[in-house]
Amino acid sequence: MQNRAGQQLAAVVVWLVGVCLLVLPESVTSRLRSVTWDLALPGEHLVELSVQKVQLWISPPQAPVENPEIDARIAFLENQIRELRLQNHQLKSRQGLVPPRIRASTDGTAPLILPDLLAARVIGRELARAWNEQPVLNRGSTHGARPDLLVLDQERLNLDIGQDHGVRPDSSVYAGRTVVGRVARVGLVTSSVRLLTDSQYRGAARLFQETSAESNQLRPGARGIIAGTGRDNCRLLDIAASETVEVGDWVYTAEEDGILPHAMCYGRVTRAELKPGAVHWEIEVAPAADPQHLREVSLLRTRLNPDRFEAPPALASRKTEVTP
Amino acid sequence: MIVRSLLSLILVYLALVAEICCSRRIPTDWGRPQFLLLVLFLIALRNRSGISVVSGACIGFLVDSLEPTGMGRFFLLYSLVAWWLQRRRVSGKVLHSSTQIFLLCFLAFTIPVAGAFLGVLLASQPLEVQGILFESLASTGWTMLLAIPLLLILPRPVQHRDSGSHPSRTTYRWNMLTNS
Repeated sequence: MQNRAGQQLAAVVVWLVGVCLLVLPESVTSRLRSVTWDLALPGEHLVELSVQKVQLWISPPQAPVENPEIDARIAFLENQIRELRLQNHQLKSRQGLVPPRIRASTDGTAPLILPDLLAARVIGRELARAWNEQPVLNRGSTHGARPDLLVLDQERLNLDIGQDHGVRPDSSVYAGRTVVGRVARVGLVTSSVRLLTDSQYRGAARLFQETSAESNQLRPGARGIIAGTGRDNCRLLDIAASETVEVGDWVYTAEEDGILPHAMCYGRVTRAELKPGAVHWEIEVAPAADPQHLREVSLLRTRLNPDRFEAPPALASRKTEVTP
Repeated sequence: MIVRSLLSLILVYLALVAEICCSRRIPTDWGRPQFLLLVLFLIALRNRSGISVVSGACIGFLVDSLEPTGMGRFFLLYSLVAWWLQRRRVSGKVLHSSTQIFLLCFLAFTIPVAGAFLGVLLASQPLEVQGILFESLASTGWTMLLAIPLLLILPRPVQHRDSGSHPSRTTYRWNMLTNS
């Protein structure tokens, strides 16, 4: 009788736990889920190895046949691609699609903090959707890709690097010399980007005006704050009415930390309106980077300069004083 | 008892790995063999310890973990199935092989469908009725392909017929009769 009562109690407790599992948030259940995946990982690897060995045993790999004609053709085509890319870049520069370079000056001393641009590939939206729908991947949370540990935000741009490469939230994301956005969420091996046009994006910005169309030189203008609108453009805020603003002006980063030797381009002013009696300009900015066509981006990381620690100047000077 | 529990654990682990490996090789729309359901069926029908509900819940948790979203649906469903099978076993009603196969076939089809509907009710997950039905049918086919030879080969659980003189058995039969 007691045994039967115990069984009934166990059943009730189990069902209560089940109900609790139903109402748990996804952040908690994903952790529970990852435990199962990690437990199954050794078995999976064993099966994988066995399958590979059987495949090798059934059909041993054949050495690739070298064909000098095909190799030469590939080399020729690769050269042609390089030339076409160069021509494309030159044409873009002539049409004003590539923002002009700004000269940066250095005083020759080694900086304490060094910028480190980390290349990352963009995960396409279709791929991100397919990954999210696929229930099974072949790695565990301690080794790599896992659907629940991946940050694959379908509303945002996703990158293929994460905590494994030391990516941190709010790291700047660039495409060449243009600003794409900032890292929003960081997963184990992926991260999502808050784009420049996101309504939550804010950044220090500075206007630059072309001195003349021929010289391609830029004159720094007023500082403001760039803010995403949630649509496909941004607004430049806090530009005083006394400043000069024109459609076509460039908007660059205006961070004062001096990590990068040059400013990065946000985009160009597409609309500038000063309403009667207004204190600030109403400025709309079109981003220079098009996230739809991005394949690779750079993430800004910072690290301490190791040269500054090899021979500390204070210690070196003291040593020279003591030595007779 | 310990050896039996260890064997059950190994069986569950092997079923989990097999289910993951199959799901990586077979497209989702084609269904997949429900190894874990098969193991639950075998354990619940042969377990004498009376904790089949717990075993079922644990296996259900593993099935939940293989799903991309939501947790708790299969935990409840599997524990319910295990509880019912345990009641069948405790009441001394040993299922014939053909009944076992029919029951497994029914469960292999019903549980994924019920899980999907629970997902719709609780988490507002999108429901593609046609897709789920086809997937469940395919899963049932895979599962039965594995289960039929297994259930025919494995020995049936032994029925206790000499229970008349045993005091606990007598009490238990009295409980069953009075439904207490």
